[in-house]
Amino acid sequence: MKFVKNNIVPIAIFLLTVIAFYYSEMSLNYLSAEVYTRFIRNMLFTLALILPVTCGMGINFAIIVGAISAQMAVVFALDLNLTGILALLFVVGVSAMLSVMFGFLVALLLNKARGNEMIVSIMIGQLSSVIYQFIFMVAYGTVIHPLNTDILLERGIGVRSMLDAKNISEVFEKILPFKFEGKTYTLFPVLIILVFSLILFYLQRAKIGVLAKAVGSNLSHANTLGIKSNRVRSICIIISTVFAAMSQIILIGDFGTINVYTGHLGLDTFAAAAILVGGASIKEARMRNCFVGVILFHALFITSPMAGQNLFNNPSVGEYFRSFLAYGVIVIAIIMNLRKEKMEKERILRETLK
Amino acid sequence: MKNKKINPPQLIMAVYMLVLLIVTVMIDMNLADIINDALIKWAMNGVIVLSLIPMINVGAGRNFGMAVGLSAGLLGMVFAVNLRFTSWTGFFSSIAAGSLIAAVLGFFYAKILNQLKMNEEIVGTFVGYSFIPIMNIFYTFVPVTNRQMLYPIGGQGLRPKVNLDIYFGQVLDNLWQIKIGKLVIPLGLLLFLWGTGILLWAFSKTRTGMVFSAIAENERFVQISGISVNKYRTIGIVMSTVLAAFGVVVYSQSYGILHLYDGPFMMSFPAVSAIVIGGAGKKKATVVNALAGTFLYQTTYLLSIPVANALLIPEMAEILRTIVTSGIILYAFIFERKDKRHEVREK
Amino acid sequence: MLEVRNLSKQFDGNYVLKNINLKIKDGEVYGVIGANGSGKSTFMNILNGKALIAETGGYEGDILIDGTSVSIKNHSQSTAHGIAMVHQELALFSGLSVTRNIKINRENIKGKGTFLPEFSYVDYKKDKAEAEKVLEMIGAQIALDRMIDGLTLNQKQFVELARELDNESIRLLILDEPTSSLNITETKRLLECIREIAARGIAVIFISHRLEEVMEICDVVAVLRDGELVSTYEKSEFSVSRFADDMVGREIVKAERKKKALSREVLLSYDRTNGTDRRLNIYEGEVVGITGLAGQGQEQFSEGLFGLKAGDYQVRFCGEELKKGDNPELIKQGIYYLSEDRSGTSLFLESPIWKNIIFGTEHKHPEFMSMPKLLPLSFLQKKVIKEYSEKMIEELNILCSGPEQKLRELSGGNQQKVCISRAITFGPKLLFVGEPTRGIDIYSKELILKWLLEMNQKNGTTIVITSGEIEELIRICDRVIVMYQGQVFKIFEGNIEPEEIMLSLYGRTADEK
Repeated sequence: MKFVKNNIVPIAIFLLTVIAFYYSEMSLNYLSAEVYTRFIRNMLFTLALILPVTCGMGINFAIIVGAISAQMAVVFALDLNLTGILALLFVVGVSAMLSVMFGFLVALLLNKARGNEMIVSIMIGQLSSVIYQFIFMVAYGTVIHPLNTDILLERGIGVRSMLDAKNISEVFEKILPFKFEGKTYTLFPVLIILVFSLILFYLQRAKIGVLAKAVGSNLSHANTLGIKSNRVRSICIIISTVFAAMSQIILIGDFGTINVYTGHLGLDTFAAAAILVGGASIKEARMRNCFVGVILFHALFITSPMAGQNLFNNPSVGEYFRSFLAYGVIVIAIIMNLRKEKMEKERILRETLK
Repeated sequence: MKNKKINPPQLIMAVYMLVLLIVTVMIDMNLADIINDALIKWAMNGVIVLSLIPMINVGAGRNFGMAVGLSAGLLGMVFAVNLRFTSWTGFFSSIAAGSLIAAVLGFFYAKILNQLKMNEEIVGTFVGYSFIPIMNIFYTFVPVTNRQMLYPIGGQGLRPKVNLDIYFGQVLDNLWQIKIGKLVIPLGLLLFLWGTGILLWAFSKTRTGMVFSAIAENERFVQISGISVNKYRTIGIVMSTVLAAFGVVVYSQSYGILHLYDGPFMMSFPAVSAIVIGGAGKKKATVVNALAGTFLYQTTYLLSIPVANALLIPEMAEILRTIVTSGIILYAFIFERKDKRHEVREK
Repeated sequence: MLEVRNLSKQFDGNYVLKNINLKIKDGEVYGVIGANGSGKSTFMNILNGKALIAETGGYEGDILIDGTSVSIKNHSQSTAHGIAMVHQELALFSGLSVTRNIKINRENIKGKGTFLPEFSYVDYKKDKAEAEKVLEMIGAQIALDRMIDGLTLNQKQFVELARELDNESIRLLILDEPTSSLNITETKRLLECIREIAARGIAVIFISHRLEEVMEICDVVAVLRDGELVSTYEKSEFSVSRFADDMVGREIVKAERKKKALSREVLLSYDRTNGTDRRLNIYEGEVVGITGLAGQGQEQFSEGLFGLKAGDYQVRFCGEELKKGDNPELIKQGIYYLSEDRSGTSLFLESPIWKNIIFGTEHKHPEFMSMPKLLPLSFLQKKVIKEYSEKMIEELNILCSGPEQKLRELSGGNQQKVCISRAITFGPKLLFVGEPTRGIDIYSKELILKWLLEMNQKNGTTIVITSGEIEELIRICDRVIVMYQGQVFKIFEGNIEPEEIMLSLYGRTADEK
């Protein structure tokens, strides 16, 4: 019973998914294939949220910034006409560099907005997203002159909205491919996700993990004990941003094309919803929350439009339902967390009175 | 009202507007047209921005969950259009039905926010976000009889955009227009805006208004003085929600289109940004802040459109607008946290 | 080991620490005692490099360690000099294990990077071994992998102690009320432990409200009063009455208020306080003081009644049961509260004086409203309010430029006068005041006390004052209630001897000395 109580959110979502799956009349194979694709495209994003949650900053909606750095790196690679493994290495290198830099800036802002980190991270995500759009839509062709003019729109200003990212997807396809239901998938992204999971596993047990937990547990105590909390928080945000960048590279590599202006949007909400669906709170998140959450959330995400179609003769109902779920779970998580904190405070108060 | 300093956002926006204005004149835009449009845009968005005031002043933060009130206004209009009410009947019945729904929704919205003091803004954002899909499901199933509002095919669910021209489109815009040469001053519309503003200003001078600002300043003191803080917060939040419903009706009649579904999705950010530009703080906003801010915000956007078109990059106007919106809100969060130190001390 | 020369500290021109001189030897247990506000905590905060000190302008004077002058500007400098402190409120991290808490920020890491040490792996095994060693040293048996949340308060205290002792360079350990939440056996163990620590050559500064502990464990005791070091005693000179005398001071002012016969008409009663059968009565028309050392529960009666804190009792007012925290009802009954946390709960600092004077009294003064019948939507009669405020400003001698001045610009004493004038405007039957004279200059103090007495005499307002200023309480109160460890320890009436109160603050009575 305690298990149910502690895991009420994942269990509820699991039941919903089973119901939606039943009514969607999909085959289990189809669902698995779809979930697999969405899993490799979103998993790292979700893992990227863990450290900021641990150090008490809540959900870092600014992981979009990481995705942006990866998109930029891919466009640069296309501009330089790089191909094959070289392109992939270039993209990884450049996006890592950019994401460390951007992550540092994000951390700078978030450290100034203590207590409001989540909403500020939303605004940072929005702002950087439009600045990024501005650069590629307006500056390209006017201020910046690309070597490869094929990436520009016909009017000569602005990058095309869809670009072929074959140069890195080729590399992806060649490594560990397997066939399922007549389509070819590859195991390479899973490999990368595994590597990054191990890195995160290590980091949680490294000094940064311990300090992050301490800072997240009680910021003012951390400061009295001389822990450099701003530094700890910054490192967490930077790691989070780098993870997001790597995730976006997997997404682009798997997808084969890059949506220059919209490819990075919405990923933050999905990641946030997934980690919360997996049973995390805005104060505590584990890796298993991510794995469970990503699979559950995306399974529901895939099945609900079809279920809506079959139940109400209207596919959009399912779509609305899933976006309600994505946002609603965040509201519920915040409410539950604050209730918990309130109870905790009252408990301490009672204890001190005795 | 004494130390009226111009804050950086205001300064930046004013300079930005000036630059745009010069460029606009250089590219031979008609100044009269611009002024006409600016006045309309001002009043069209002004009421929505005014709706932020009660919640800010009662200390419940900037209403990022405005979608709740906006949806109520949209429902009011769906109600009026469904009954084929036209002209003023349509307009006022929209407002009446909308504010009724808004009052109910606002009450529940307040219930949620009162549990989450100090976190209203982030919670509001997501309450607003998650309320929109709920409304979308409603729009899909609502039994509407006016066929003009339904999808042409299938006949189930409202259209995303319903044309209001044959109902009450521009009814307020066209009221008491004064024409001076090429200039057209929509006096009725402006009076509606100013009237709402004056009512809000008068409200702030009443005892309830005084209690509002007292709660924002020192909630614990008010609590000790035997005044139910949650009651007043509820009043403030309901007021904001109802005013948002008002605002969207004014907005829609001006726009001429009833924009359902994801229409209200991104409307709170520009409104918040506008009031910040006007100089409103986290806990204190005046009618002047709202009106001045809206004017600056909307006019710069308006001016940037022809400039962007002249540069052959029409998308630029929207991009610049979003940069301004999120940049200003970011500024507000990062530089307006001076009271923070006080909290730490207390602990 | 540690020497302090002419150490002073001021907050906004107010000296809370004046020319402290003392010497502490290695391996010595040095007791520091003194009443509330005597400067103990400021002294500790300076030694510990608290940010609060540097933010408010630093300290004056010299701190010498082993004869060389050092400056302590922040916590890490303090730590570098081997100074460690166990806080009264424990600085432990829930969600981390005992080992992690003990070794926090001092973890054994593999591969010492200088650029990003945060990325090094933590050698948990080694941490654990070391943590075990420290815990063993202080004689505590706590499972090292347990989470902090599950521990008892006593165990937490030991973990905190272990964390500070784990620092190998530690020379001086400051203990701030380490025994306040422990029972007798636990306390005994802790005291033994402190002796052992001292035996290892570590100097200990021991702050406690429990005089018997201080006498038992300390080698030297220093008494602070009003920011000054009044006296130091060697072990052979220890005596409770000496301590008490020094803490009170000799120059006690004679009582100012004629004690009148109490009405014995119960106005307010607290029943079943803290789960006991005891009852505390407040009589009609009296001025009663509630005092105690910090954290002994003296605030629970006012703050609990107004729902600011939990209060474990039932309240009856004029025989009628009252709900705690139902402030609208309390106000309706004519009970008013001026909290000790003036800026936090009794003032609008950013608002003009007039608003602070009339807020919450409108229902008693319809003349302040232009349309009293429409109360919530009525406009204010600014003219009437201003005239009234001006009258108040004049009567209470509030120094300001006029009723429109913002409260933040006034001094503490004048702010308090604004609070009092609001209480007068309200005209309560029963008034609770917390620390009415804290942080206020002498002249304003007397005025405030005078007005409180006047309210009592002219309007028959019953007044309950919670205060640490014993001398003042004796002067103006009919009765003084002393709190000790959350309970009413003793109630004084008639002619009150300051020494007796002082002793009872520490849970002792005069006859046992």
